[in-house]
Amino acid sequence: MRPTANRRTSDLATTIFCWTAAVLTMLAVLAVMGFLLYRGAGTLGPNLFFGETHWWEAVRGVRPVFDGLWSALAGTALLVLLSCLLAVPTGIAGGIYLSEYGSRRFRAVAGFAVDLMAGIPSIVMGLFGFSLIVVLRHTFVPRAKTGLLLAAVCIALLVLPYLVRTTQNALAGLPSHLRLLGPSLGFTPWQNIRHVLLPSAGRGILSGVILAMGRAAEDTAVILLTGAVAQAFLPRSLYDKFEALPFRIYYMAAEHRTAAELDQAFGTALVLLMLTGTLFGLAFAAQRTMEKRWKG
Amino acid sequence: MERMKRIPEPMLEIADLSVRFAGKQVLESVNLDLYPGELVMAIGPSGSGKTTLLRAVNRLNEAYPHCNTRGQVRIRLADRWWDIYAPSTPLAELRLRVGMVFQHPNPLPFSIYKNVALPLRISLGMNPKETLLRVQRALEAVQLWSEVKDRLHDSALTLSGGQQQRLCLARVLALEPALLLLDEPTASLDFKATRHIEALFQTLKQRYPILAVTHNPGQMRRLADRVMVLQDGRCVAAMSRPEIEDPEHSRRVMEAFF
Amino acid sequence: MDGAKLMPHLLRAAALACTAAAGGILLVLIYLVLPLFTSGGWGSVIAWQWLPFQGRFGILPMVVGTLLIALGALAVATPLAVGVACFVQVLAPGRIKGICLALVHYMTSIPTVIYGFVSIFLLVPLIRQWFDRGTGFSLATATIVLSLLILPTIVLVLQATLRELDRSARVTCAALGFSRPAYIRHVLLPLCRRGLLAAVVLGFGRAVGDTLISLMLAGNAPMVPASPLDATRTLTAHIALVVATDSQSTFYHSVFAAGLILFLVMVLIQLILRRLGGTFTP
Ligand SMILES: Nc1ncnc2c1ncn2[C@@H]1O[C@H](COP(=O)(O)OP(=O)(O)O)[C@@H](O)[C@H]1O
Ligand SMILES: [Mg+2]
Repeated sequence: MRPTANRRTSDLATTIFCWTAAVLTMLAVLAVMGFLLYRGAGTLGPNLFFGETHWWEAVRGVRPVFDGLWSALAGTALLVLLSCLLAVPTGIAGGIYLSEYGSRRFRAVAGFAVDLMAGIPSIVMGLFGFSLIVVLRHTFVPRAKTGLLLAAVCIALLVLPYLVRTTQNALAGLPSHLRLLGPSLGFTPWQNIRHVLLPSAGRGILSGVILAMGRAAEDTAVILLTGAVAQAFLPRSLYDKFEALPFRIYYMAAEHRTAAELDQAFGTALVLLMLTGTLFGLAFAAQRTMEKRWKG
Repeated sequence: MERMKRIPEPMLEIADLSVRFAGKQVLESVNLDLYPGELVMAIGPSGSGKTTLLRAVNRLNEAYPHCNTRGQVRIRLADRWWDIYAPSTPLAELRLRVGMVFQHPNPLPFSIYKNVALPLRISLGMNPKETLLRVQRALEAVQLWSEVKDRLHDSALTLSGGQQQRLCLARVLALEPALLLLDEPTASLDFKATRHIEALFQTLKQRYPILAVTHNPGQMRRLADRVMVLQDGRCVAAMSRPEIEDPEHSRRVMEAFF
Repeated sequence: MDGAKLMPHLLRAAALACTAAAGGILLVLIYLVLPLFTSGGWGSVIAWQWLPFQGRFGILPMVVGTLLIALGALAVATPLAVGVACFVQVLAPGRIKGICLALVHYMTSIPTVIYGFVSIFLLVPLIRQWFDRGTGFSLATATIVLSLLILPTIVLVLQATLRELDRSARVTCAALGFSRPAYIRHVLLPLCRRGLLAAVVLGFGRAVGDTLISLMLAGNAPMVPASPLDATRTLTAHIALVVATDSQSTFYHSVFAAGLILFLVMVLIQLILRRLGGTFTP
């Protein structure tokens, strides 16, 4: 009952390889997070966000913030809010239609379009937005310029396919007895969706929405081309330039002049990481409860 | 005075075996000796713990989460006793010596040939020439060779259910195990394939001690040398060959427990 | 018409809007590169030199830069991902499996700008010191970090395939006396080829499409690098640089061409994934 020597060595090699890969990956991620914590944790505090301005006056917009990242945080929040307003209803509705109504053919065509859109690099989405402005300038709106609304539209287009797909998958993952419940009670298809399927798939859809928010908050390439700037106050209208956390990180990485500015950059990065991390945690939890519920 | 007849030593000893899954008692204090040349059958309604009993012999229960096994299972290999649950017993090698055929045919999604050859190559480290011979002999032993010899490299999933089950049996026999575990091997087969496989077991039991499981009294009557009746994880009755052959007796036992 | 009757039509409109959006983006891009076809401008774009002020708008160096970085990242990430996926699915003890998998999921949510930012202060100085050459902003730096970015995509797609295989083959192979590493080598890996291919193709798409890591770390010199320590520029970074620096509109053709190339790469990737069948979304 002894394995051959040959086999023992290749088994050992396989085991070592897999463990090494896993440990290396974990170390790399922990290094990124640890380094940010180490350099950025000290800067966390009201000062990081509001500089010398009193926080309440800053939040009310009474007085501008000059050396904090309040406007970046607010800009990101506005951007996420606006893009979700545009994308969430459309995406969920599209997902429901694809999952519950669409003909086979329509599903195939639309499915391809959605996958294609999911694959579009965000810089191309940004380029799309930028060229829209160029085209508008040459045609109907000579004074068109990049700004918050344009960025929100482009980000909405970026996260739209995720919303469609997660909605579709959450509905498709429901057990078939649930799907038959409505019709057996004499519901119309829409009543069945509204009262049976959507409540059951809610957590899955919710996790998709939260993940989409995370993507909207972190994306840099789109806003790079559609109106984010390094210095701006709170946008007064939808067409104003704006600041955003990821853009600020990108900008400060190259353009910091003093050690204090660099510290602030680390603080900004840490804030963004915590923001996306929190959103991720929420989405993960929502997804988990959904799976527990239907996989027994 | 008559010369004392030498009592043969058993091949497998199960003593006071209990298995729990996530706290739920599935087997309780089961005892069994298996002697060379005999086919012992465990019979019982579904859910009575038959599969768990078999899997306890090759420690396959551990492939499932939250399993807790107590008691002793010992196997005699080359005149040496091995405690199956001792930490020093090499697990993979143990499983090689204990061949198991499952309730549903479970060929791997490789070719027919590779299904039998892969364990030989990997687990026994055989060279290609030896392997070819071994595969052929194993397929002949299950009377599959003539049916598949021209399509050895087709996917095993193209075979019929009965053929697949015989392939799985060949895969186990090719490893020349010391003992066979059969878990309702005909449960998913039609009448003809069942008879075919049962006939195979009749000849195989000359060469291997077999611990088999069924929920089919007819099959039990045709094959078993000894029977243990399981119910809710406990051994509630036992029958010897004469008792099995006595239709009255076996009917009474069956009626009492099914 | 009451609300409930209207609903299916609204849903349909939304689905159509999603479909139309993809088509619309493609049309706009094509409209923008159209002048290149009519004026024969492709010749100036499909060229090896980017010297915009001398009227040379070649983007081929960026195409090569993109390919080098993406393929390099795949070469690093694929073996690692195979190791991680097999570890998670087969070798990892219960608790570690959960932690490891959660961490890989978490990696998908780390903003790319953070990878870029941290690397500037962590990896770039290291590269500069170790190799004692150049600025540390190089093909190699971007490749390493990009491999970390695409790793979770590959791991998750691969692991989904492995999970399905494992479900059907694990007990069978255990009963046949396969050790777990042998099971990985001889059963799981040979059987997961299709899933691995899909994972690699998706990872390639992620790598080609990423902007921030190459923009922040690759040095952005518009040339074909002679060594891994040389700076280079990707198509995505090229778009960002040209558009964000308010250059003259004569430069834009090359940018639209770059955008169209990226878009077409993604179409190709989608077609490959379709051919591979199944759904491979991480
Ligand atoms: N892996 C497992 N996890 C949890 N419970 C199990 C597992 N395997 C078997 N059981 C439980 O143990 C009992 C006996 O199962 P089994 O041995 O498969 O019965 P049989 O083969 O006689 O039908 C059943 O109630 C089953 O639910
Ligand atoms: Mg069973």
